[in-house]
Amino acid sequence: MAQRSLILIFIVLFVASAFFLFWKNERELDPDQGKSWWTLAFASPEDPENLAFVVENHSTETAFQYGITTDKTPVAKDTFIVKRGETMIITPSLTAKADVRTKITVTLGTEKKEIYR
Amino acid sequence: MHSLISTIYFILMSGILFLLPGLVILRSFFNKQSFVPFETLLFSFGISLGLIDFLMIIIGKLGIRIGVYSLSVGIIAALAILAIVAFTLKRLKKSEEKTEEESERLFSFSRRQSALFIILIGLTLLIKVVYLTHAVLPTSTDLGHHMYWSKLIATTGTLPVYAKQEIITGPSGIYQLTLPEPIPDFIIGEHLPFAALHIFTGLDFLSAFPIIFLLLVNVIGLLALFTLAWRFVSDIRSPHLSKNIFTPQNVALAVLFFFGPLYTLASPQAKFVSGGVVGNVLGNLFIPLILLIFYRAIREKRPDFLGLGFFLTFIIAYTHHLSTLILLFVLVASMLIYLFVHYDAIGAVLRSWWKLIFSPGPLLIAGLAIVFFFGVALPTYIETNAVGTAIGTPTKATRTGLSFFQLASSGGEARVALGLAGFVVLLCLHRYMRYAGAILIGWCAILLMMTLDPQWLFIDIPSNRIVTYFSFPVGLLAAFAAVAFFAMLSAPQSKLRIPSIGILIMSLTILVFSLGNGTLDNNQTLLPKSKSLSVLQTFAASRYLAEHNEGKSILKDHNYITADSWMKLFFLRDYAYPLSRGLFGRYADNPDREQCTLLMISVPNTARGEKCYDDLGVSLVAVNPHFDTAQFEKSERFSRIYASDDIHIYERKK
Repeated sequence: MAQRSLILIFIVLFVASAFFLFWKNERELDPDQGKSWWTLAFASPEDPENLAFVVENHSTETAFQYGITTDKTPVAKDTFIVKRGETMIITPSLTAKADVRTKITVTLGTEKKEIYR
Repeated sequence: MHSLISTIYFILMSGILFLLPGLVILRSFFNKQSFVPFETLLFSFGISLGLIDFLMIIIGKLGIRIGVYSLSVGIIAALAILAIVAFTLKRLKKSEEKTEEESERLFSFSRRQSALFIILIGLTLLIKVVYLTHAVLPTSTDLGHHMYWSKLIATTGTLPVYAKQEIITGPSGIYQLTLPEPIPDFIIGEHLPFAALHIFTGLDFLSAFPIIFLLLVNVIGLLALFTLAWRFVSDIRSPHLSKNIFTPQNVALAVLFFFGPLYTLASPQAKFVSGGVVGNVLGNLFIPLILLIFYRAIREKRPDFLGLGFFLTFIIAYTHHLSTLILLFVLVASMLIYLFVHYDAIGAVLRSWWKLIFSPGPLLIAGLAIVFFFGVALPTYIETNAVGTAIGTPTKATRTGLSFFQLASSGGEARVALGLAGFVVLLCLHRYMRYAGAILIGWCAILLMMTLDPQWLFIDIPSNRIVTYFSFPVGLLAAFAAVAFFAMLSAPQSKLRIPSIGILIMSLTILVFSLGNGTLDNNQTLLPKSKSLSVLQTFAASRYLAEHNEGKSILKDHNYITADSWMKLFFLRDYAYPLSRGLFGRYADNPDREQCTLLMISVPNTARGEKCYDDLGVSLVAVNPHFDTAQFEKSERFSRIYASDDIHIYERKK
């Protein structure tokens, strides 16, 4: 067989390999593809009094609950829905105090995450 | 669908950027018959890489933004100028060359050989792709570092200044960040091809494209070894070896076997691809290419080939320092061996080399290279005087050489055993009298010396890095030995007559030994599971930090955060931004190293930890909560502002 034909076959095999790897990587980096995770963060970390928080949901469950404690005393709680693949900012009608720890606890099913100032 | 578009962009632009310019140059300066198709593919790729690199350097040095337009105009202008030069030169001279039919005859495959080539190359790609299925994610530390520079080039459109900020203790005991200090470890040729591909395709650096490009370089390097073996065999044939068995095709296929399906994952193969060891992967392509063209130049007395060899050597000098050093040692060792075995005709040999070197073509290329070197851009390792650190008597235990057992383990026991047998066969058959034999023996011998006893050569480089280069000559020699063994038994002059069943048993023994050892090596390298969930969390946290850092100093942990070296691609502020708590061993091994990055995460509430925070102004810390939570949680000085399963971000209160 001529070398040109072998080179052509090599190129075809490489293109197939490249396509598979692009496809695989795209699936792996898709936050919703076969994965379940979520994040919790302050929406405006630069503002020390602002308790607005953001939830990015990549899990199959959508029903979240949150509670706010000031120095371990519960001061607020509520529920909210964030669909898979979406991000939502929750803005409680409270502000953080400088000298006590204000903690936001968000629960999804049995999973719990906390942020505090 | 998106993957398909990415693949089309990648393949199309790789072809246009890294094949077409080289092909135009090859066709302009050389007759079509000068190279067989495999060589055309290989040299087109090598030349294109160099041309793109040098064009980007020139465009950057001229103060023009490196982008689609400047690069396109640059490529077209460069090719037009070179084509005119080539056309003028061709009109001045007529060269005698082999006819295409002769080349085709020498390098054609039988149907069975073709089938074997397709099976071997298919198996090679399959095994590499299976391995890369998990490793294709952007997680590797080295690749993250390299892609920072590539993204910086592509985003700013300028050449990077290889420098980073360091933490030092000032005169009054205050910790402070220096102005960016030069880094000698990075070389521009490692980053420009990725930047060019991004500029033309728009593919994200956080996608699979960097790994796939390295895979392409890796498999083209494999074809370079295949073609090198093919050329070498015609020079080291012997009457003691059956002409029907010891053919270039069979030996080249044996090389493909030893570098393809076997040992295809361990260093320096797919593991270097997934690990983002960019310089080595590129160097491992250029070394066989350069040896091939130098070999052909000197054997066929072709000054134009020598000029091409000079150009390729110049490219490797701007791509990887260690590979350049290894190449120079191999070339010198090969020349010395050849001169030593031809000591009775040393004058004639030197005169023929002199005539070849002092021809217009090689001199012109060498002259242009020198002008570029001193007038346009020096490689960073020369600019920062880093060469001195690699030369000298080694003192560290990691640089004083490896044991033979370690060397065999690294190169693959079966391959090393057969390779050393091949070394002996070449010596016994007196093939060192030929150029190919001298190169193979010089290549193997110098790397043995550099790995086992580097002090003899005053090499002060980690021995485990040098040993990865040993697999190349030893793999070639293993292929020679395996094919020569059967060729010797079947040679008409052979006094040893072995029945067919005996040959079959011996064949199976060698095959099982090689397969067993080579596939075991592959199994040990396979990754157990994907890290995608951790990677996604690192990238999500990085995006959050990039949006909310407001210019504040950030510290992150390298020990427990997956893909942490890629975080700097979200900021592009400095190579050392965010600051990083490095591997624990580095602080223990080097007490003079700054300790702040360690203290600020490990013991943030101690007096020294707090002083580091205060002096350096660090206010955001990213850690893995499975390992580093308690010290921040119990402190009143830190707020937790971000939480995911694998990343917590803390902010230090003012």
